[in-house]
Amino acid sequence: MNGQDVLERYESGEMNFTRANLSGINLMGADLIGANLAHADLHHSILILAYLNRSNLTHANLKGTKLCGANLSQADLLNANLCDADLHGAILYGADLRGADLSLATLVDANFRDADLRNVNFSGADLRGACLRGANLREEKRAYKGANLRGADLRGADLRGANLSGADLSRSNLIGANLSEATLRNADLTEANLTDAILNGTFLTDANLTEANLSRAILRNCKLNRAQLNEANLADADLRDATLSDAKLHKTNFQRANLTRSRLNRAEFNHANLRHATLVDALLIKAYLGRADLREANLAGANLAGAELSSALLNGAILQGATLPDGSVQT
Amino acid sequence: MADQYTPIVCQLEQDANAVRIKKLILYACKNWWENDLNRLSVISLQSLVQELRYLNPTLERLQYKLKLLVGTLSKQEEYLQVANTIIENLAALYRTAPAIEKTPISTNPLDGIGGELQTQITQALEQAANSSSRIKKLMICAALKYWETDPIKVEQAEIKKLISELAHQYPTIESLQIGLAAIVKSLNKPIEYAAIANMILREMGKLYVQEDGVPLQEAAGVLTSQALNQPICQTADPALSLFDIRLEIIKFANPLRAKILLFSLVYYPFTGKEQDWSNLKLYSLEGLLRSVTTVCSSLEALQLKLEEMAHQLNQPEEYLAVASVILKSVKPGYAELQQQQQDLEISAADVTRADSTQVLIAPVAKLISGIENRKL
Repeated sequence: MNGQDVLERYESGEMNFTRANLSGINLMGADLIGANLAHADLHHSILILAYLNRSNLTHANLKGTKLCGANLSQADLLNANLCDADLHGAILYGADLRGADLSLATLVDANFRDADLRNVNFSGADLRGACLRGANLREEKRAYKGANLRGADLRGADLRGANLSGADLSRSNLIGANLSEATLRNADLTEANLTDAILNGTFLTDANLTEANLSRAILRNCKLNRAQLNEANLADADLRDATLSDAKLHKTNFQRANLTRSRLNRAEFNHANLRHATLVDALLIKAYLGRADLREANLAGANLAGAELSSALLNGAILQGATLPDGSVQT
Repeated sequence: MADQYTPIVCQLEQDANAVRIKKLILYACKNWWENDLNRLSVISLQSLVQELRYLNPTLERLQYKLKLLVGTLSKQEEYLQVANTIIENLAALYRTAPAIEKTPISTNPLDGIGGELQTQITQALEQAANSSSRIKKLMICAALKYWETDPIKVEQAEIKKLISELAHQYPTIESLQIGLAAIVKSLNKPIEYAAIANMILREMGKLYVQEDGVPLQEAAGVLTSQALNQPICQTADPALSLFDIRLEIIKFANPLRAKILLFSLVYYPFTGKEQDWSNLKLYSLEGLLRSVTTVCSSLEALQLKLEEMAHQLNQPEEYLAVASVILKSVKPGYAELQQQQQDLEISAADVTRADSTQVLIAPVAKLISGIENRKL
């Protein structure tokens, strides 16, 4: 069957192309809205700017297929093989991609708004500037593993409000991405690069951010309770009003970071670098600051009641109005 | 030290790709593509090489810059080879002269660095900086290419280091003047900052010595209000609104078509050739939106050009619809977007964002002819 045959059959009312062998076919700009292409073999075919809205591509083989600018909104792509496919600027709004393989796919500026992406494999995919706003990538016990975004390129991506609970984002590149209001509970962000990323109000509770780079990131009102940030780089980050209670901050770099009004109760700051950090009115009740470097830090009005400060470096630190570990207030 | 350049320049001139080498170096130094061989021939390769070395203090920076520029050209493979030739030849300059102080420029301000003169200038500027943080802010922006808003960081910045950095980056008083003027124009208090810039120029002028040994102290006074009479507002977080504009576009238009239309407007009409697809992939929608603001000075101009371009593309009616979506989406914040782009251009050299690939390239109309495929 060639492209012309497919289009003629579709125009005559036939919608069923289940298990059809359409590999290498050229259907550029074709209108196949609502077609049933389940289990079809479309590998290395050309579907640039094709209309595949609401089509059924369940288990379809789309390996290496060119789908640039294709409209796949509300399409069913359950368990589809899209490995190495080119979906540059494609529309996948509200599409169901559960269990699909998008590893190494090109997804630059693709629109995944409100798509179901549970259990999707995005490892090594190019998602620069992609929109995953409101997309569902969450882990569900016994049903879906967290999305695999290991090593994915998500620079400048829009992930606002996306659910990435339990997702694997280790070693991913999230430079300049916007993750505001996204949920990343329990997510693995080990060694991820989040330089200049925007994480306002993001939920990162219990997330693993070990050795992640968050320099200059904006994390205002971000929830980082119990998060692991050991050896992470938060230099020049904006953490105003963020919550980091019980966080693990061993050797974390907070140089020049702004932690005004942040809640850091019981956080473990051993060997952390807080030089020149601003901790005005921060809550550090029972925080462990063993050998933390607080030189030239501004702790004015901070509450350090019950905190371990005895081995911290405090040369040049400002403590006016701070509540000290013994409960007294520094004048 | 001039001898250090001569063999390298000779080598480059004798290379089979000599013309392309010169074109690429010129592009890297002046952000300008020259196809006219006559005009090319009158430009001294030696001075270009010197400038290239100055503009790129490290070999890594040079590699990065050239690679970035090559990515914008149509004959990428050929120019990648050219870039490699340049890097290979210029590597010697970085090995033998790690200290930029050694670079031979007749009015090298660095000769004054570290001496009594610098101490004098430092003291004068420090004294002035005590009464106004603007001096340091402007110096930070000129030297480090970003606008520092945190008063603590401004306070901590050392004038002495900033002077050295400025002297490194601006080999002549004219280049410093141009650099400061560009920044001042982009700020929302241009009149106030023009006075500050003039003060910096006056003091820094002492470092720049003319060939006859007379210090250029009277260099100031060039930043007049007429050049800076555009009141501009600054936004707290430029990145945020761009995310919103982009979202608005992709909600109602095909992201690929939006990119094709914007790319065609900023660079060259997209024809669907293999090379066009590869080029398009280099740019992000966000980056193209930023670039378009430098090509179209107003919303009206944008509308006109978008519609004009839509008619030139395959399936114009599709692109006309996209044009109207783009217009509607950028309308509320177009002036703001333009301002952000100007701010970004100031710090372009250090930007490492997703879309940085095009920030360094002046996507203005005058360049379009230069990037045209067949002419390269």
